[in-house]
Amino acid sequence: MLRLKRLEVEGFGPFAEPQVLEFPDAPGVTVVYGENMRGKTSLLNAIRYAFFGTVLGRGSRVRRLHTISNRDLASEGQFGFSVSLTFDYDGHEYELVRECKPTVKSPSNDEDYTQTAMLRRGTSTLGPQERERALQQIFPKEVSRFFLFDGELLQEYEELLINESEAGHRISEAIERILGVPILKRGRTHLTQLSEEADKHAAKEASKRQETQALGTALQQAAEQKEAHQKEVARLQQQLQELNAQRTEVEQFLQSVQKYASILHERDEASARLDQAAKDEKLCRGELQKAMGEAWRSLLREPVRAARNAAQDEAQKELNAFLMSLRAKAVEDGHCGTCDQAVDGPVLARLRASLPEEPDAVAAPTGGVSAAMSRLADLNKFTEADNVGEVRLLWKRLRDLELEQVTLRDRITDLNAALADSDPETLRRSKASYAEVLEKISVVKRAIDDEGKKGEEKDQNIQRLKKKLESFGTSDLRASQLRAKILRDASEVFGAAVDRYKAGLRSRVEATASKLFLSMTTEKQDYSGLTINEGYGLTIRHRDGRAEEARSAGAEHVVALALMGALQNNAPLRGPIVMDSPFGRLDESHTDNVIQTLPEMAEQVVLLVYEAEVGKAKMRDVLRSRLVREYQLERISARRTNVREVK
Amino acid sequence: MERDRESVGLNPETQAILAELEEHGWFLEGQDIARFCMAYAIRAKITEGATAGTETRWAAGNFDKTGEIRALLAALYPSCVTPVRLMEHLVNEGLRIVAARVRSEAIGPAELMD
Repeated sequence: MLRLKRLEVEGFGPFAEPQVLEFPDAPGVTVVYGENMRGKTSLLNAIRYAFFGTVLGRGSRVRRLHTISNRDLASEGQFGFSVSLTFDYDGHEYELVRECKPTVKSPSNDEDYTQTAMLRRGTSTLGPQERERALQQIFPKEVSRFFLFDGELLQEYEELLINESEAGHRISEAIERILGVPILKRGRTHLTQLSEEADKHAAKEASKRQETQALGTALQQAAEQKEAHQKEVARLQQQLQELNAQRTEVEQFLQSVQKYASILHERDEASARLDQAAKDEKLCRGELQKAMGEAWRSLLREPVRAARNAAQDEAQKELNAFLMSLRAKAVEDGHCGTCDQAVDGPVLARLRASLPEEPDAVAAPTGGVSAAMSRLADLNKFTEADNVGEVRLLWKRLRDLELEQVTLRDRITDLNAALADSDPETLRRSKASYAEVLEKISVVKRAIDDEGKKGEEKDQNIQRLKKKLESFGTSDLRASQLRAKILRDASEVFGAAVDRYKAGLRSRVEATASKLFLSMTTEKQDYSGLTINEGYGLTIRHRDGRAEEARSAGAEHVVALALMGALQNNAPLRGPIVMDSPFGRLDESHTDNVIQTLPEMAEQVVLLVYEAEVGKAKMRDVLRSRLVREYQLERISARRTNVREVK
Repeated sequence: MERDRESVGLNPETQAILAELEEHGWFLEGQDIARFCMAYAIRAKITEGATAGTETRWAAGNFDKTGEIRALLAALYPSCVTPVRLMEHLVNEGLRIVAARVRSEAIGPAELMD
């Protein structure tokens, strides 16, 4: 188990002069109080720097070392810093010193610095290789996230609930690492390799004998083919790993510029809509112009109808007058010129009665085509049309499209203003390369599946050949086959052991996490605990047995803390938990519960808080005897902080 | 007998109006505007007359390819003996009326047809 004893920093962040924190041997919580900007995160980073030589900033991005030097000293021309960490591990006391010194008088970037490290075990100083090996064993970087963390890192654990999430997969791997699963997995892999070697040996032996030569050769070939497929799978898996790393990198970049990404996305969408609206407008305008070319007919439809009716009336009147004149002439002549018959008797009387009394009222026939008839003929040449409705629809659509374009242009102007300080081109390229990487990942995954299937087919063939070979068994051959079988069985035993170990671990982690969660949550009466999934994601379980789908940010935080504590409690690798301002999303009751539970999470806990989060009185009241030491970060100036023990 | 014209022309005022209406992009070409405005003038019962000071814009044969308009004018204005001159007058008057309405009421083509 790793236990911190003493931390000394100099020139690191706000700590200009050498500052020392000593951590008592007794199990419990050491609390460091400090307002914002006083150096709480710098202390967490100092421990990280001592072990790994790196300092993290927001979004877990590695900070440039040039920015770590104390700014007050730097303004006086003194650059560089050092961290010394004393700790116990496996019955030995270690002292780890890491220094960063400038190689030029006025350094301006990381290349202007050199770093040195020293690890002392007991009284002997370890050489560079031994030092790195020892540090890797004592505190592997891959699992440091479970020991040194802040609220931001805790949020990452939400990824564990998202299937297929690369970040979740990475965290799951780190969890298995801290739980010691890889050792067993490696054991299984070695045994599988050994059994395959033994199979090859047996096949080689068989190919040397006349009666089994053909079978042995076939077996050797099948084994070689299977090996080729396995090598291809391994190569593809390596490629997949690299692609996943690329994906993570782009994802992190895109997340860091998520605000710009969404603005850019909206702007691109608005631009596309604007282009479409412009095209639609052009089309619609063309249709309107076509319709307006015929619109004059619609305008004249009513006047022409009225004129036509008037002309028809007039023509009718003219026809009536003409008929009347024919009757008058027939009465006058006593003979009808139209039917060439004599008009007399009752017919004559009836015709006379139909004539007006005034003889002048009957006009003499003019002859030729009447003016009205001629007008009617002219009016009938006009082709009637009514496209008012069509014009109205097209005009409305055109105005809507114009309005849409104005609105979109305004929006794009606003979005461009919001993007003014971003680099849209880089963002666009990253999005394109993200899509490309996803496509490649999908291709490689399919290839792995295909190769796996081919490998299985070869394996089935190998099994068939082996069975045949067994019937020819000589004692040497049987011995080789037996050796291969034992190794294969051992590999299967290891495989089953890994599964059982993982299942057992998961159930232990689930039990401990549930216990810690119930200790920390304020909703004890409603929840029965947590449920763990294959990837170590934890779900809150209600007393009615159902999973709590919607979790608040505070609940997520408590679940993440419960997972941290559960991993610490169940891992072969144990050490201190150093937490930086972990109560950001918690209310007062949850904060109290978490503080009370801290000593259950790990034997040694270092808590970095600002007093508005938790005051000294509250801390002492809640932790009582488990509060082993308190420090205060005191402001000397904006760029200088001293560490003082609170007595 | 008064001789009729062979082309339809616009005076300086209506030429400017035509350009103004063309700007709106409601019509494909000037002739379509002119025909529309002529119909607008007929509907507005503009009486027979002649517009002075015009400059040729369209050949009458092109403006009224089928002779439909001339026949229409002969029917609607029976006393007219110079249908192309009347056509020109109606085009010029129509342009002025339409432009005045578009300017004062800020309307579009659909409203002009109401």
